[in-house]
Amino acid sequence: MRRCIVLGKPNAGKTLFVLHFAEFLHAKEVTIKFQEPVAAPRKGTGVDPEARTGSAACSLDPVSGSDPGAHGRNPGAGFGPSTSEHFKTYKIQDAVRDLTGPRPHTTRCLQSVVLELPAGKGKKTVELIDTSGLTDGIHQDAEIRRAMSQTLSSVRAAHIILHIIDASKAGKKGAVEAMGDVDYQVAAFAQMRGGYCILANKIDLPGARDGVKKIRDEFPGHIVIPISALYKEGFKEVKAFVLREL
Amino acid sequence: MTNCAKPSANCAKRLVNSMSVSNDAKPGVNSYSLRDIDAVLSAFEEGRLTPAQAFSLFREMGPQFEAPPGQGQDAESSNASRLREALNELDSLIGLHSVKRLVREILAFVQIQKKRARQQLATEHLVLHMIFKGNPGTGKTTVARIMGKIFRETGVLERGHLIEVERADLVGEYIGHTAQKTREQIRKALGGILFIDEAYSLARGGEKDFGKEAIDTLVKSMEDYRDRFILILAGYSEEMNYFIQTNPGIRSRFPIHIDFPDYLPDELIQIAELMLKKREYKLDPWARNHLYTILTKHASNLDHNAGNARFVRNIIERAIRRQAVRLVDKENPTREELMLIRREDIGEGL
Repeated sequence: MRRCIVLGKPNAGKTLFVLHFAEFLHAKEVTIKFQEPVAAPRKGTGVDPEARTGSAACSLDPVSGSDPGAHGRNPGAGFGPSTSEHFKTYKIQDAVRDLTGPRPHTTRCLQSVVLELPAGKGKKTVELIDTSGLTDGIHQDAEIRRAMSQTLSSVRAAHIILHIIDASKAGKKGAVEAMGDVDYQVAAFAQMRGGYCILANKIDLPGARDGVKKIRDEFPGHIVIPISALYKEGFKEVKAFVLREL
Repeated sequence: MTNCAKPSANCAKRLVNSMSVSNDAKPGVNSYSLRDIDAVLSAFEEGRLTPAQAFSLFREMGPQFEAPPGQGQDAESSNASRLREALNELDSLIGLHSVKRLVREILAFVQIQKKRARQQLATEHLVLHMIFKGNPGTGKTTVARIMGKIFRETGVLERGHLIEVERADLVGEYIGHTAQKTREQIRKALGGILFIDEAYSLARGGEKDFGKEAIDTLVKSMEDYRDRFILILAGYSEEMNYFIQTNPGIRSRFPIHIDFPDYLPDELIQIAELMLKKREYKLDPWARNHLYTILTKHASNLDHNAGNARFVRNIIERAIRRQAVRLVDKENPTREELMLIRREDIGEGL
C-alpha cells in the first residue's frame, strides 16, 4: 500500500484535513491507527536514558486508548523509532471533536487512516498518515520532540508528501503557524523526491488569498493547491493529485 | 532553543559530527554517523537539531526512497513486465488476427484515457462488456483469460481473475432462486471477469423459463457494479446473433463484439505442431499430410468441429496414445522413434 504523509507546522490543520478528506471520499467512519513513540535508546548513539523516561502515551486518545491489552498493541511494529500501535474507530465528527483543537501540538503521534480511491474499474488504497507538527526551533518538551522525530522518520518512507501551510498566517512573522525554515527545508528535500505538493490551507479566512500568492512566490516550481480543510474546498484537486501519484 | 542563530546544513553537520566524535572517538565513524538516519533522529530527540536541520541532513543523504520493510520497490516495473508477458502470450496464439488487433485497440484506448485524465481532459467511461461469438474451440476462453491479465496490469481491473459459468450456474430451481444464484456468481467475479459460456441458452425455453430472470439480474448488476467487473457473453455465432436480436437491452450494453473465426486447416496444422512441440513430439511428413487431409475433409463437411482447436488436440492426444501402443512392445526404441508420430498413429481422425 502506498503511504501518503501529511506534514507541516503545528496548527496548520493537518488532522482536520485528514479527517475531512476521509469524509470527502465517502468514509463515514475512520479507523485510526495510533503509533505512539516508545522511549527506547538506540544503540550506539549515546542517548541519555534519563531524557527518555517520560510518558510516551498519545495524549490525544481520551477514551480508551490507554488500555494496553484491549487493542492488541504491537510493540516494535512500524518503521523508524520503536512504536507501539493500537487502533480506534471513530465517526468522523467524533474524531474531529476529539483529535483536533485550536492549540498547536494537539497531535502527538502518527495517526494513520486507510482510504480507498476509485481507480479504473476498482479501488486503490492509500494510507494517509497524519503527523505531529514541525516547529522551526527546538521544542523544549521531550515528548513533542519524540513525536516530531516520528514525523521525520516516516517522511523518508512515504511515497507522497502533502505539505500543509497555513495561508492565513503565511506572511505573519512570529506566529507558530507562519512559514519558516522548516517549510523551506521540507520543500527542498521533497524537490528531489517527487510526489510532493503544498496545500495552502485556511483559504476561508480573511487575508488568505494574499497568503496563497505569497506561498506560490516563495515556492516556485512546486504544486500549490489552495484548500480549506474546514469547508472541504479544493479537495477535488488534492484527490486528483494523490490519484496521479499512486 | 537552538544555539545556532542561523540554522543551516553546515551547522547541523557540525552538530552531528561533534556528537559522534564525543561518543566514540573513531575517525571513520564520523562520515558514517552523518549518513545514519538513526543518528540524526536521536540527535533531534535530544534537542540538538531543529526539524529544518534534520531535513537538510536528509537531503544530503540523498533522494533514495526507503521502502518500509516488506514492500517491494519495483512494483511498477514488474507490472510492466507482466503486461508484456500477457501480450506475448496473446501473440503466441495462432491465427486470431482480428482478435489480437482488437485487444491492442482496447489497450491503447485504456492507456490514452488514463493520459487524458492526467491532463484534465474529458474521458470516456470505460465500458468493456463484451460479446464473443464463435464456434467451440476457437479460443474464446483463452482470450478472455489473457484479457483478464492485461486489464489487471493496466489497472482497469483489481484482480483480473476469470469466473467461468454456464446456464446451470445461474439459473435456479424455483422463483427467486435464480437472482440469488446469479448475484452470488457476480459477487465472485467482482474485480475480474464474469465469463458466461453459451449465454444464448439463458433466453431459450420460452416465457416461463427462469433464464430471463438471470438476464435481468445481470443487466441490473452491470449498472450497479459498472466499475467493478467486466461481463463477457460467449456462444456460437448464430445462436448469439439471435439472442442479441431478441434482447435489445443487451445489444446496447455490450459495446465490444468479437468474432472468433474458425481456424483454417493451415492454422490448425500450426496449432497441432505447436502442441506437439510443447510435448516434445514431432510429425513425420506423411503424418502431416494425412492430418491435413482429415482437417480439410471436416472443413468441407461444414462440421461444427471444423475449425476447432480442441478437435485437433483430441486427434493429437489420441495419436500420442497410439504411438505408445505401437512402441510398447519394442525393445530399446531410439530417442527419434519416441518423438516421431507416424501416419498410422493418426488413423482416421476421431
